[in-house]
Amino acid sequence: MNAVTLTDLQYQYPDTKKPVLDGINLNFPAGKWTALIGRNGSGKSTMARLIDGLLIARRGQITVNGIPVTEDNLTKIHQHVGIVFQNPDNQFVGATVADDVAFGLENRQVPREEMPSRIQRALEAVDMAGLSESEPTMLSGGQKQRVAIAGILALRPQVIILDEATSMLDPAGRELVLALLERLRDQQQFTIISITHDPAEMAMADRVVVLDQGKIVCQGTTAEVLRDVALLEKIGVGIPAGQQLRQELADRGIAVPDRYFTVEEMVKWLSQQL
Amino acid sequence: MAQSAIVIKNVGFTYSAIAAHPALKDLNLTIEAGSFVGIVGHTGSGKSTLVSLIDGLTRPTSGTIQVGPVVVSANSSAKELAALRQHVGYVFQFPEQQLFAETVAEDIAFGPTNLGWSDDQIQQAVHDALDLVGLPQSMAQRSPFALSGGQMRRVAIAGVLAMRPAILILDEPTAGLDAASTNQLLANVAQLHAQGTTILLITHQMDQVAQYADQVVVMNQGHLVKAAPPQEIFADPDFLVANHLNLPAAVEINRQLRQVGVELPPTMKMADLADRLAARLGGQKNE
Repeated sequence: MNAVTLTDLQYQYPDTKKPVLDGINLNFPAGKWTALIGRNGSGKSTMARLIDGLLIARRGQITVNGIPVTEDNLTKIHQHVGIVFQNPDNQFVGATVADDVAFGLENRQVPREEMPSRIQRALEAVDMAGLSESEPTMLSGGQKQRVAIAGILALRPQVIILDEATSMLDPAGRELVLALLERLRDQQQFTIISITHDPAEMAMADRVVVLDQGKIVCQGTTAEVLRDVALLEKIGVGIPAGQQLRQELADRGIAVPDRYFTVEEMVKWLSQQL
Repeated sequence: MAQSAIVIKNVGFTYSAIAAHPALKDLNLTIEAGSFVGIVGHTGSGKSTLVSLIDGLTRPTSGTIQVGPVVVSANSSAKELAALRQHVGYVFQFPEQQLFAETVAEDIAFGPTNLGWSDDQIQQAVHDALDLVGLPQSMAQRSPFALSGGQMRRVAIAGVLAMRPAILILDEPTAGLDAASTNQLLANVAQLHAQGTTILLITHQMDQVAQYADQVVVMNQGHLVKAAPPQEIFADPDFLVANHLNLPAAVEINRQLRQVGVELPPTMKMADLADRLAARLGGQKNE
């Protein structure tokens, strides 16, 4: 089952010469984590905004859980899709953590008596229940991003899009958010689309889609896509550490099997050879 | 003997009288002119406070900071702090958020214009700064807001370089950039370093430190824990973990290999690790 389908999609910003996305046919399978990778300006964030209806394509079609993304359907689409953006400081609206999560629920006119339990459960899911009365200025970047994710979880969307949501976080904050994504993926209730430059984050996804100059140049399981180091280098996206070492060894004439190696697999293979 | 670019003596810093803990405690550090220093530590460790003192954005609560011929202390005047800033260029995090002018050239010219340089000098500075960050001269008349994220970042850095600082501070300069833009930006910085600029790089990316720095300053809870060459810092994984730092990928793989009984000399860079492994693997094949 596909949670999101893109068919013959084209999008061009006003006053530009070339479409930023062109001839896109792509499915995001339900319950899977797909990493969307590519250079700055390759069209990744535009795709995220089109899926959420923040931008409307003139050509092609997008569906979310079978519903076409059109101006008429925006309210419905926003119930199915939640986006977490890059900057944790631009997304906080509430005076406290709990207020911030409540904000989205109020907008959707969720009945008042239902709110406390939904807020509580969403904050528990991101490990922030203990800080529900804290002010945003007291939180770290990683905590703020987790509150942003809680705000989305409380709305119970099917699709969660993270647009470089970990790129402004320090390593500790990034690890917390990525661990949360792994938990959500394991529950399989959500379709996760993460836009990222971080090789470690792409390696955690189930599937990887590579965008280059507005077109899909490669897609498949994570192992299939990240196997092709030459392509990743040519496009200019990051290469996970295990694959970097595999390539360095192959360049030195060592016969390493031509498949995808995580760091752990590389270490295991080397220990068997030595 | 190499000339010292920065000498920090017994510096303490507290943000306000009511702050519970000082942000920096009894810090001593000498940075030689022409070095490439990686400043590392987890969020809140005092990295940014340290470099804002070096840039004269604020005064130390105690101790002295010498940058070139200028010395500042708790009693220094605003004029003395400004004198310190003349030697230092500071590229903040996400500097492209501060672009404002209608053209790339006007944005880059902002600093030199404020310094009162002549039109010829300013034009030359804009031209050189574009070269230094690897942007084509044809970009000078374009709007900075029509550029890609990586290009905007480089325009912002060019604006700092145009003032020709002897010391360049970069705070997470590659955050949010793709791999190709990251590598290009770091290559530009390495080139500036090769031409004699002293580089202070704040980063969480230990691979960048392993690749480029000749000295590493490790901060933790306002203390300077260690200042040493990267070979020494990265040879001790336990020390890195204790200071909440990640390991460079090659150090991490080396550590994991050791756990399964493959002993190799310490290596910081993936290419060096591959050399050592290839020698061992090739050697076995020939036996």
